[in-house]
Amino acid sequence: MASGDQINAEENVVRALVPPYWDPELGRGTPSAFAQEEVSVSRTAVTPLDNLVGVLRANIERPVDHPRGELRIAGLALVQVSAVLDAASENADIALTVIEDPEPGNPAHALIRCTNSTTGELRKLTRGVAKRICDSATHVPL
Amino acid sequence: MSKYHAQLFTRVAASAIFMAATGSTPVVAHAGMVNGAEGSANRVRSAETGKSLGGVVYAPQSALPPSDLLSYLAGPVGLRRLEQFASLEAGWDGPNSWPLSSRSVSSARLFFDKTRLVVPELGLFMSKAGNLVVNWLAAGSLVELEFEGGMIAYYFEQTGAEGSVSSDSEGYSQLLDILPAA
Repeated sequence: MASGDQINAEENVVRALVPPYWDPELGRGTPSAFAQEEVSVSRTAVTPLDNLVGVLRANIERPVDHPRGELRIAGLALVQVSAVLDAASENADIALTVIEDPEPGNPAHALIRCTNSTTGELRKLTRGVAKRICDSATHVPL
Repeated sequence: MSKYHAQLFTRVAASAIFMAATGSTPVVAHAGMVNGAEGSANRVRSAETGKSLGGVVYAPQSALPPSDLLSYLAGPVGLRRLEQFASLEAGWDGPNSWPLSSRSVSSARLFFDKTRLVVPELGLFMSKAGNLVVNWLAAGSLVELEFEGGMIAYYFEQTGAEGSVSSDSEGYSQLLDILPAA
């Protein structure tokens, strides 16, 4: 297995939800968290969920006095790869893959990649498909 | 803004907030900008002051602030979120993630002020592109708008409709015509 290889459909991946994507007061998020060309996720098969939280916090969070602005993870979206792939099954224009993309600070890092099924070019995931992924995900509060 | 548009925008439909009988929290609401006609009957509510129906009270449009309806709907929590979004710089969500676009925020403010659209529990979010995203639930289904400067991208879970309209009076009217009722 190497960077770019597809991940087993039985695996689970998590998406870190930062405040721009998740409102803890409303208990509601936005499909925009997944409506992108490539979405960063992490594999619980590589790093167990309990350990992933620390890894994601170290990679994403910034303190209140950080010059680029405070950022805290508001929760995680946990979803099975098969559910991600199924979300686009009724949309013939879109091809979704979930591929390995290990990073130095996060060997579990992976990408949900959205391409045009005809041309193979990267394209933004539609909100409808993104919403179906959200609906399949379990929200893990932090 | 042209005189035509100014007149268009001042023609606000009879509109209302449904106020919870016990307090001031808007629980269901809808108000439509009228484009020449009197708006879609299924969206526009009575503006009769204090009219009670089924345990809810209709409040008149005059109960709403004359401007910056977006801030009113977002509430203190939403405004704090907006401030937080504004503090984030490029790269907040990895490569190709951008700071909050002031043009997008202005576009959203203008949209709510001109349409006088009132919705329950408006959520404020930000896309990776730095655009302000708002969403709410209409009959349990998500309605989401992303203000992309000159365009407004929409998504209605109820119908699966997804697309975009121009961020002007014509686009507002197109959007209000297809917006799911709360």
